[in-house]
Amino acid sequence: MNICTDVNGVRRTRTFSLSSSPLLWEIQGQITLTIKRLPGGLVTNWMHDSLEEGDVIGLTEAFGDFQIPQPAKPVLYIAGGSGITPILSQLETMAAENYRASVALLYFVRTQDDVIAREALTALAARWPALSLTIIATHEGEAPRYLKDSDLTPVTGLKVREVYLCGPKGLMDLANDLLSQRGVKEQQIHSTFFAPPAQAQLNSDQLGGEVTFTTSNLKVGSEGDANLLEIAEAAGLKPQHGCRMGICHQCSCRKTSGTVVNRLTGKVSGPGEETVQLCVSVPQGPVALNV
Amino acid sequence: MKKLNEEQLNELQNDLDAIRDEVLADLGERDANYIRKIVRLHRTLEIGGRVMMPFGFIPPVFVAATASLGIAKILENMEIGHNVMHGQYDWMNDPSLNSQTYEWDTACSSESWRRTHNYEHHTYTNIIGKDRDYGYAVLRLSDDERWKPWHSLQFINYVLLSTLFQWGVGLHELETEKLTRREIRLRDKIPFLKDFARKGGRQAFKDYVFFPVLTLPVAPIVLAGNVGANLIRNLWASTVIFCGHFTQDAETFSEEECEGESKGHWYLRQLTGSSNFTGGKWLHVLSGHLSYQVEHHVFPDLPAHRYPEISKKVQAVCKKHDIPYNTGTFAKQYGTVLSRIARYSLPDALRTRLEGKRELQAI
Repeated sequence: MNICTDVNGVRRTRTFSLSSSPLLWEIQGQITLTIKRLPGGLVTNWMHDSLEEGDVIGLTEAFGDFQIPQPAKPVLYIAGGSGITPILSQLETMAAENYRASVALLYFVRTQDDVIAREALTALAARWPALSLTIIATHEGEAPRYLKDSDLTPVTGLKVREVYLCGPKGLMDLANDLLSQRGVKEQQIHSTFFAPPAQAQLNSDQLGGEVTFTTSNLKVGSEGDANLLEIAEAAGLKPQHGCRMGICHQCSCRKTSGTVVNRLTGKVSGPGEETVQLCVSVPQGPVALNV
Repeated sequence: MKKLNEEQLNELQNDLDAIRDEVLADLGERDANYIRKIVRLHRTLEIGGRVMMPFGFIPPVFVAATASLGIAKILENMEIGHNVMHGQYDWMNDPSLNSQTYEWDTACSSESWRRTHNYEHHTYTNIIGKDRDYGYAVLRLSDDERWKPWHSLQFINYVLLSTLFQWGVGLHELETEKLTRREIRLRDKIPFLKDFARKGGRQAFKDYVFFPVLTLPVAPIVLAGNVGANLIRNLWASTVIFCGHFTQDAETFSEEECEGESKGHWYLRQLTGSSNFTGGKWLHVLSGHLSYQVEHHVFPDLPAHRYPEISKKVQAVCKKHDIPYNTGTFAKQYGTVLSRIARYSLPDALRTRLEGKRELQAI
């Protein structure tokens, strides 16, 4: 779900996973989000430092296609770091309804101290025999110990399992490769990203990218420091505009995703939804606009 | 207009950009709290005014209700609407304070306003023939325009324009002067007229039909109060705006001298074409900080309550480049506006003779 809150006067929207089961909502009218500080992260750090009991924040409806298979099928979860949170919610639900098929969880953490909700996980494994829990620390030995093929060997009947991936991009890429080598079909694999895309450096050869104009249903590529207004006009669109020098805000419109660089200030925008001035915004990677 | 060479213009641009960057880097909770406080004050005054109005058969209550609603409209139009539509608060990412979706409490639609004001007026400020806000096509305010006999009665036009200001602003985009010169056709203006009828109609319905009918037994009192509140707003808004560009020393420009201009030249034009007035804190708030017209024109999308804070720095930049910084008391500045309207209503020969006499007397 999206959380919407004002941080230092600016409204920010971020997506987090529910870590509680829908049952908690039905019974007690509560939900749980498990949010870890992201190093340098604007919103997660603000939440840890400044959000207090009684404060009001905005929430959207829950969304996504990370859903428990119906009817029950054997499942394999591969989670990394705080990617465990949506899986926690599913495990709670499955345990409560006494899910019939076998469920395996491979949970990767940097060190054993980084395990999120260890008590909840061990309690689940103890009372619900269908769950087999494996926690692997990646950064406790000399060399990093990432997911490897032999981790999948103990998982019985791998080919017929539904597989759910949630973690950093490196882990998910690795898992996808290993799974396809073992003959797991693409349709069986469900992924959800939780880490923000790495922030690109402000560097002229990293400018440009595919621009999606959602209202006009149009996609065009761009290179170099062409601004969004020029890109739109080159694509035959006629967005409202005025001064073309960043003064009048006639061309301001909603960016729904992607990063842009402000040509006047050199400032790099956030990745989420916000208003941008087309005439002074240069895409840095793929950008989607409500134009 | 003061002439600067290209190097000096670049330096001027850098100096002003530095002020702008400093404010941009500092934007945050303080600005968000400020504008939300003004929004709350506006709502309190508007609700207060509307609730008191039916009890206006008691004369002091009528005065309080009308003043409350009038001031609410002034705050909403000037400190909230005008400034929000400039994109001053877009960085907050709050949909209710977004420049592209905000709709204000006046007859002019936001969309039309953003075209004629944000784009035309702020880009072509005081360029005769390009900036239609210079005299609003009903007043002759400089000798760049040839005198015609009807100009001698333009003081009446001024009083009418001020009294009916929201309708004048609402119809500004109709470009009647171009229609009469047959440069454009009325049918090109049909989309605009539809938009104007929709927004203007809604405003008239709200203030002159809906609220009076809602309080039927005292409808005439509510109607009178609402007319009064709109009148207060009209007179104040027009007065503030006239003090921004039509004072004695505010300069005008020709299209030729602005062709292909640099950002530095644009800055210079904003500095010399605008004028401030001084006063207390509330005078500034009620003018939407357009009392800092110079700062507003240089930085139209910085939150306006920052203008008093950066005024000293802007003045220092002006001093450094030997550019006049036009300011004075509200009374003095408004006096020069009235004098300008009166003087340019006269034929040039008569005007220069009278001005010559005055100068001699002064010596």
